Amino acid sequence: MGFLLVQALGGLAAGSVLFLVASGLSLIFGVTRIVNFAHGSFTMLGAYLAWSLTERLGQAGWPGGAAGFLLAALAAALVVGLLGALMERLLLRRLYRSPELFPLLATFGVVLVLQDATLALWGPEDLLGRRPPGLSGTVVLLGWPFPVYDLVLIALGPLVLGLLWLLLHRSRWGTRVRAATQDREMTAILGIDQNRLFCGVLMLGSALAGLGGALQVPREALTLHMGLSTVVEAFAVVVIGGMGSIPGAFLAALLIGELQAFGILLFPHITLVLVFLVMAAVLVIRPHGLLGRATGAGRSGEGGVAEPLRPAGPVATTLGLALIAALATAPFWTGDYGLIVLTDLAILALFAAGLHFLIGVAGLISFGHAAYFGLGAYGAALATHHLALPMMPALAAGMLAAAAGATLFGWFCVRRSGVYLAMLSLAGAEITGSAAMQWTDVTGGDNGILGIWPDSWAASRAGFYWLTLVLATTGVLALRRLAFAPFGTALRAARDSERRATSIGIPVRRLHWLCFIVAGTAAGLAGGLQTFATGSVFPTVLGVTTSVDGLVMVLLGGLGSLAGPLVGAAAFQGLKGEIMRETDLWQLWLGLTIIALVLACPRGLTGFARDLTGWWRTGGWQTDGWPTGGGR
Amino acid sequence: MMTGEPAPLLRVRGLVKAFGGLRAVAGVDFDATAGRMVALIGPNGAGKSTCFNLLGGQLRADGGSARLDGVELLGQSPQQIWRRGVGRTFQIAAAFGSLSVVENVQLVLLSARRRLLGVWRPAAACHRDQAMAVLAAVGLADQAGRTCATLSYGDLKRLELAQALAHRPRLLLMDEPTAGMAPAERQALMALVRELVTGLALAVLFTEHDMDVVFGHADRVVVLDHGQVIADGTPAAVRAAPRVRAVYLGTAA
Repeated sequence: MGFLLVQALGGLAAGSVLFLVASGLSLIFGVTRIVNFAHGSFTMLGAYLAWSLTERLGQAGWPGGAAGFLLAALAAALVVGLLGALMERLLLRRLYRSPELFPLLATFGVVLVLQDATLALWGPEDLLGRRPPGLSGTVVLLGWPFPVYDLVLIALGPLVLGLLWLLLHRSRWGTRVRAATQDREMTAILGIDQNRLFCGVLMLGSALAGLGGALQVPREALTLHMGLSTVVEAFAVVVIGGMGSIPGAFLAALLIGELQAFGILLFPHITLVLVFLVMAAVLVIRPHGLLGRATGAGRSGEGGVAEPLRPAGPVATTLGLALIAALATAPFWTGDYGLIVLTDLAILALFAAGLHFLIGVAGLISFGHAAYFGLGAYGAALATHHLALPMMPALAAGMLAAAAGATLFGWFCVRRSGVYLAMLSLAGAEITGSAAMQWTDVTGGDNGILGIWPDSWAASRAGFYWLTLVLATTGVLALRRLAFAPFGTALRAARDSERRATSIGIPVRRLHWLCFIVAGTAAGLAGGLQTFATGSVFPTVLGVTTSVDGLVMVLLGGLGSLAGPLVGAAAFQGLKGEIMRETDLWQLWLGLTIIALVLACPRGLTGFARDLTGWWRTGGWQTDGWPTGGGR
Repeated sequence: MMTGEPAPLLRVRGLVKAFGGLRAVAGVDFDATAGRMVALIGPNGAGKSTCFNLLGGQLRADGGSARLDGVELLGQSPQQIWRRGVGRTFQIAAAFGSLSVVENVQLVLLSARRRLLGVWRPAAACHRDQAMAVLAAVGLADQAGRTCATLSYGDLKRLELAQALAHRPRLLLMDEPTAGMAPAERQALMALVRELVTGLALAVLFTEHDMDVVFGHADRVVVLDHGQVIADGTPAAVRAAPRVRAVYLGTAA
């Protein structure tokens, strides 16, 4: 009994911290309609800053005691709040009118930058914080010890909820925030300075994230990965509670806190899965969350018009055939290293082409395409390792596993659009990733599966390269064929105007589901090939970085052309090679590259090339803002 | 029938829809006949759009019936209603911006024939002649190859009409067909609709705020106010009805 009480109270304490973070995310989303991926990184930064401050305080013998600790936490929160405001000024302000994909990607770029910056400043080791004097003891509840600090946290949740309520309902500024949450256009028309309002909301929301992180310091070890896991968890809370609803976030945070406190007793390894299962159930049963309301105009409909897909003309066809011929003869003009690079490139191109089919053709933003790449990789490896299948059936098994995963996750994803879809797909990838990590008996956990090599007929570098080239080319051409077929045309139509597509009898949701399966299968083939190319598979393949690599390739190449993902894959691989040769801070540079791309060249390299040829032909430089396909 | 008037294609009886406590549509009856144009008018908030959305399946009715040739439409999904032969155009015209004009129509034909899952033959090669014929009927044949995002608003309205007609509906619902158009374009569009109504024996139900369009083109006018029909008859009879005057001009004290 006492044990259950202590467990429940621990859940409430964790829920309180989660509420601080999630309320900030919800506030920011409510007003700006941007899901700030960097929100969890702000939590991480708040934690690291507070750690440094409390270390100083501890070394100085805790002047001020518990109050000193609280001041340090508030100072950390303030610094993070200012950073949030800075990000709004420099980055988000330019993205309010862009399709959903771009703010998501840009703030993910910030995640990468902050992660490497934290690594550079605080080092790679996990850090353990100190408990301030006066708050470091325990009390005994029904015979079980319980930390005093956690009791303070439990009280803090409702306190912050109350303060936020007062701020939002009893101040002029709060009224403006609530008005903007309900109708952004209208508040702008009424002459409220949006820039200042948004900047303030970013500052407050980020400060809440920072405070949540700072208060975490005495409870949990700080890691460089907490940024991403925090934002995913906070997003789940916001979705369950209802986007933009602060009381909803409170309720959901406590729910998730308890779920994890007890879930860890029953299913120690899959608490994350429990969170996502609750989120998925809520999204299906109460799409607007427990306390949320349907928000008015979202972001869809803003931004530009998608570029038409044009069938390849004679010049492009000739170039394409010449490229295929050049690649087919590669073993005669390049060495082993060159073949390894080209094999890798063919795999990346197939992966990117599948993702482009989803994002560019259908307008469905997936942040979890790693799930299908990884399922393909693991499917092929497991079929070889446990069932002793030859290579080709193993590759087929990988594709099948990916298709099955896409069928399952896609069913949830296509029920929602925009950022919901992006985060649901990310949840799918995270679930698959934690399964691969924790189902050690089958997947080998962290150690992965080793020694998966091609059959003897394709064992030579050239042999495997040719196999990869044939399969990847077939996959890319099949996707191309599909994009122009009625299936792809209907997907493009639904992307341009979903309402209109429904009104002419297009079963949009079913087509989107099929699209998920098609794109997932392509990724599965790419993943299976990757397994045989490297001889091994590890859980990292399912990480969000794989998904983001795919997104960067698609964006780099440009959404508006089927050649985009191929160009993007080549450019990405070249860039990665160059940067990694120069520096260890690959994530920092990748993050900056993403941000620069989003701001300066959202139409990608193929878009730039089209602008250039347009300029050559007409003498006028015309580029029309944001490409669509990045959201619906 | 004594008058030789053909039997109505659409019979709406006792249609009801409430939003919370507000009865937006409170027991509406009217008919629409093949080869005739019926205008559904009334002040803002009278329930016109709600009626349209109930007939199109976008909203679920709380009561009543709407039979198309004896088949109940209420309770069916928008897709099912569309397949039963009810076409629809919207107040704000929109097309699939990145597709060409003719592809926009081809897609309707593919959808009507349930061939959207085709994975091999390019869509641009499917039902092209038939799509061109529909475009010719609305006067857009020379624009067939253009990307829709570059069309003028008037042409976009025509394209929408072509899309609505492509699967040969028996009833066409037009929500403010001339909204946002210049006066000369309005007359041309409505003349085109009239031509099509006669040629294809189509029943048209339209809402409209422009009274010149309503009284110049409708065969029959149904006036709604506060969710109820307050007049139903020929344009001349409706124009003369005192209740209609009261609603539109206000009652003299």
